[in-house]
Amino acid sequence: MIIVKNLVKAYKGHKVLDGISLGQAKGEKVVIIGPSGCGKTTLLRCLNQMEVFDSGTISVAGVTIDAALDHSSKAWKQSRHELRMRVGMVFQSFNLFPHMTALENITLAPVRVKGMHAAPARRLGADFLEKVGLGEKAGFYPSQLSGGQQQRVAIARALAMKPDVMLFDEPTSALDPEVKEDVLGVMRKLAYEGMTMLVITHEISFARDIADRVIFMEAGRVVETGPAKEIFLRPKEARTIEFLSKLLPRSPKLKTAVLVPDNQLSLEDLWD
Amino acid sequence: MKDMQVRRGKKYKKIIEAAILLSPLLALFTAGASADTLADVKARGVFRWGADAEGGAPYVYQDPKDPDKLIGFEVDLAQALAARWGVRAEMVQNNWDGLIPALGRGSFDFILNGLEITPEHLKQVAMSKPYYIYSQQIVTAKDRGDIKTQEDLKGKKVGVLSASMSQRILEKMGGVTIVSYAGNSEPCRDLRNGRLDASLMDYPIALYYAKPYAELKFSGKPFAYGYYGMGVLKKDAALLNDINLALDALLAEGKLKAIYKKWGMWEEDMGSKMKRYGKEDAVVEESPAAGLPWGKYLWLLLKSAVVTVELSVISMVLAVGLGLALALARLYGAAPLRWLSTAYVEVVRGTPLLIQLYILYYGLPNIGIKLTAFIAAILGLGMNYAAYEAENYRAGIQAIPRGQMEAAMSLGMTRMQAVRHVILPQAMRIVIPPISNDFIALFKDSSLVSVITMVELTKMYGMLANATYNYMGLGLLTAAIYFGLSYPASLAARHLEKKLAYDHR
Ligand SMILES: Nc1ncnc2c1ncn2[C@@H]1O[C@H](COP(=O)(O)OP(=O)(O)O)[C@@H](O)[C@H]1O
Ligand SMILES: [Mg+2]
Repeated sequence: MIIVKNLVKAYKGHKVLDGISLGQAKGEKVVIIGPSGCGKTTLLRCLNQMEVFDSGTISVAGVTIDAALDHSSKAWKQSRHELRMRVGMVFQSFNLFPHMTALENITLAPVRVKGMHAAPARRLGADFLEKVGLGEKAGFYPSQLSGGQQQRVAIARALAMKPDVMLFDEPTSALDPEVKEDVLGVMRKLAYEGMTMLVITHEISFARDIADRVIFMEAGRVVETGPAKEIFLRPKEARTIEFLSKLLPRSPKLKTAVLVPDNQLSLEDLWD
Repeated sequence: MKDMQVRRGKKYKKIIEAAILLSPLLALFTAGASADTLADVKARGVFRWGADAEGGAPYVYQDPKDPDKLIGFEVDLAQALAARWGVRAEMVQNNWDGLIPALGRGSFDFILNGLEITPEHLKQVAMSKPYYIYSQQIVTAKDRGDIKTQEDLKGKKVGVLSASMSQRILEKMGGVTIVSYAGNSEPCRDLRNGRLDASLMDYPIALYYAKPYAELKFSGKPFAYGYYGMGVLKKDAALLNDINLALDALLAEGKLKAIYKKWGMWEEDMGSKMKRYGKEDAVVEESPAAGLPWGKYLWLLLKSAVVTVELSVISMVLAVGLGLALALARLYGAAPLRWLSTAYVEVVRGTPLLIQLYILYYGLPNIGIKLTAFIAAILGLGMNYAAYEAENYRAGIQAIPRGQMEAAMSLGMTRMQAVRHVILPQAMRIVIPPISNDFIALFKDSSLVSVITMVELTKMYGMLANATYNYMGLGLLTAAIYFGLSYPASLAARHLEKKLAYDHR
């Protein structure tokens, strides 16, 4: 579903992504972890072409974009558009349109991009609001919703375009602890329904529950990748161990797990 | 309590100090107003005469060869007076419209600047015997044969100097489309480029401004003669008497004739006409605007306020539309568009609106584009304000977080769709307050278009105030009309701003 080959992206000569390669199968859930500034967001932004990259290839749901393509050509613009249609993106800061109600936020793209008529678009929007548990909030403006509710509307907005892949960039890191679980719950449900998901998150319990695979990135490179069990319980790389031990300083069991490589813990044991 | 008293005490002290500082000035002012100006002049060894040298040829103007030097037949006349009295002459520059009020304030000793001896002027000031007899000259394009007499002007478009005798004569006659100009060279220019059928001007003005052009000609004989006299404060009887004696002597000695011959303005019967002054009526038209009931003034002002509103609203629509296009071109356009838009904004903001209006109205005919005054006014105001609106939009659009554009584009929208449905609706709410401020500024700036012959509210005020000398009353009335129009506009803007707010918290 997603193939990335030798992706390089530099800002003013500084390589933010330094030869990333990865693959993700249909229906697979992949979680990316890594220290702040290591290029996670940039990777996602390349995947839906918010960012042009310097070399390498990405391919999502059969749409391939090569850095060597002429960026002013019609063909490039066409593939970029097709790619965005297949990829749904959820941002750290929600980015809802503040001048529109929750429902209007969801129906805007189906109407303007897919040419859907207003009435079916409204039904579609209502369905997706229902799906994220906000059926009551259709007429509310973003400023009238809590952060967790806004992020759920944002997820519904992306889903309404029927993407093949959903990208999440730290969807809960801007939220209060009490409402995080509402958003994570919606994402769990989505995972359970078989959506292909690429998620940047540091919610280890969530990662444990849904991730088929975890990627640990540092300084623009993939350091280690493997099943959640491997990465969290028996990481091989010293830098992964260091990162994980910092990640949850108050979780003694995680510390035990990463600092004692031959431990006998199971993933379920990681949480109190 | 004590502290309060101390502070209050200080405040009173300040006021008293100010009064003491001002009192010598006040004394000077009242002394100047009550003493005999003639005695003053002799004691000072200099007299000050008030005139407007701006566009003042051939009366008083800057020598084109030496702009530091003033020349003109009135300069020569002032020199002759000075020689006679054994004092120096000093010209005091003052806007022509404001000469009489300035005389009242004591800015100079008398007015010597083509002031016609009319009942209106005699109401305000005492006037000397005539020092020149002027008449009205019709000027047309060389190839016009159909206009020779005053009667022929009926039904034609005729240019005049604003608030001049020429204008009054035409107003009185009726049936003429009068176009009034702030200066004398503009009507000549419009004659040459065909916007006018004719221009009516004082003979000396015609000599200086129209004669040099081969494409123009004097049509028919001068008519409707009248007198220029010097304006003196009514209580300055001694000064007035001395001026009259001096004028008699200059005429008798042939010195006046010499001056006017030098300037090509002498006519053979002028001497005898001057001698007959007072025994024979000259043509002295009072402005038809003088002495009307107040309701009539209000009506005239309100009618011109409609022009002001039309101008402001249409120009603003143009400014808002063009400004948006400029801002979008600058933010989202291809490189040449971006460059053009930036250049437009910088050039228009970096040059005065007045110059832009002049270029549109008087400059473009040189390359064959002849706009009507109304169209030129709207283009000038609209294109000027478009530059400012473009900057408002740009600031508004740039204030929208980047994430908005990215969210829209990640949903598959094109850049233009995102701008149209996501960015602009939000930016609009930001730009409404500055745009409505600009609208009110434009509403007031619209008075500038009087320089290209538009008669709007301020121009009408100027015309009426000139005719009646009621600067205060008419000024307050005009200001009240402006305020009565702009205040509801700002209330409406505030209401709109509230209505559009989506922060419902
Ligand atoms: N537009 C940009 N211009 C220059 N540097 C950038 C830009 N965006 C991101 N970076 C840099 O790229 C690096 C990776 O950023 P990012 O992908 O946001 O990291 P992460 O999401 O892993 O925290 C950081 O060092 C950041 O400063
Ligand atoms: Mg990030």
